[in-house]
Amino acid sequence: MYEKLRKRVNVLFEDAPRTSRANELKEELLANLIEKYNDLIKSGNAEDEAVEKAVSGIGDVDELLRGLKENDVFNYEEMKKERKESALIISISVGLYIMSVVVLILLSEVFQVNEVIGVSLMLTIDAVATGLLIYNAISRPKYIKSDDSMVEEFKEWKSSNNEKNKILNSIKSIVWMLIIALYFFVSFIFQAWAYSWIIFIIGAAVEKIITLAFQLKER
Amino acid sequence: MSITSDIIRGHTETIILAQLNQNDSYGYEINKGIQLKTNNQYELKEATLYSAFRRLEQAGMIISYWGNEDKGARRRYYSITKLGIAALTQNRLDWTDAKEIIDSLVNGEE
Repeated sequence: MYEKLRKRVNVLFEDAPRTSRANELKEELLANLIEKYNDLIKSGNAEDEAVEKAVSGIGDVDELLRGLKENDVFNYEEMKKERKESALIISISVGLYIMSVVVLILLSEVFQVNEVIGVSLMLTIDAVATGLLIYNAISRPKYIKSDDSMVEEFKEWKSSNNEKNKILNSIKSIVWMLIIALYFFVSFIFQAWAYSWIIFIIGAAVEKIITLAFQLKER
Repeated sequence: MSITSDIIRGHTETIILAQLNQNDSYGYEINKGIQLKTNNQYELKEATLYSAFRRLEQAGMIISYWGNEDKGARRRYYSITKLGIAALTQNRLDWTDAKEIIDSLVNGEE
């Protein structure tokens, strides 16, 4: 019979946000209902009758659920701070990517340093930049829907959109790493320094194609 | 009858505070106390009761903790805070005032 009470309470909480507070409230309510039910049985009610009486005593659950939702106000200040942080990280990593090429050119052309050292240094800088991007993508928490209002739907949609962007960004940074590696590989092996820069233009085209492919998949 | 239940509902929070001022308690026990004191005439709806708990807890007038029942669902106990006791004292004074004013308004003849 407790199972029956549990089911009734579950139905009442169907629209409740999936938060620990809602679950606690449900548990609290159920504990009290069970006790009430037991008292009703003791005072001579039939089992079904006792369930009905206990459940009808709950009253307007909407009032309670509203209370639960009011307190899940999304923290916009924190979100703004997070966004700033993430923008800074992305800017730094993009800067590092560009700088790494500059460093290589300076070292090999101006200072006549061994090309292997130059390339190693460049790839190290790229590795740091890629690491920063990945850290940025992983460290940001996924937004979990806490109630079913339109605002929540929007936030979840935005969050999932961000997830997709993160994947896209990761793919792009990997592609660029490959392009740079390819550039040096082709240049060193075939000594084609005069022409191999065209790889970067092809790389940019590849990036656009990937972005387009993602956007087309969205539809 | 309906005026009485309206008034009782309007003082849910004070009623809860008064019960908790005697001893820590949980939802059903508080409701049972109300039934007992009103000769089974009144009881609060659970929704009303828990909404009041949440409000009181947010205002820092009560705190809650889980009991350690061995069997069945756990009970959530509530305990009054100093702030709660202060609010209760104030609410009692307010109620005494309100009673006198309403008395004179309702029964007073020119």
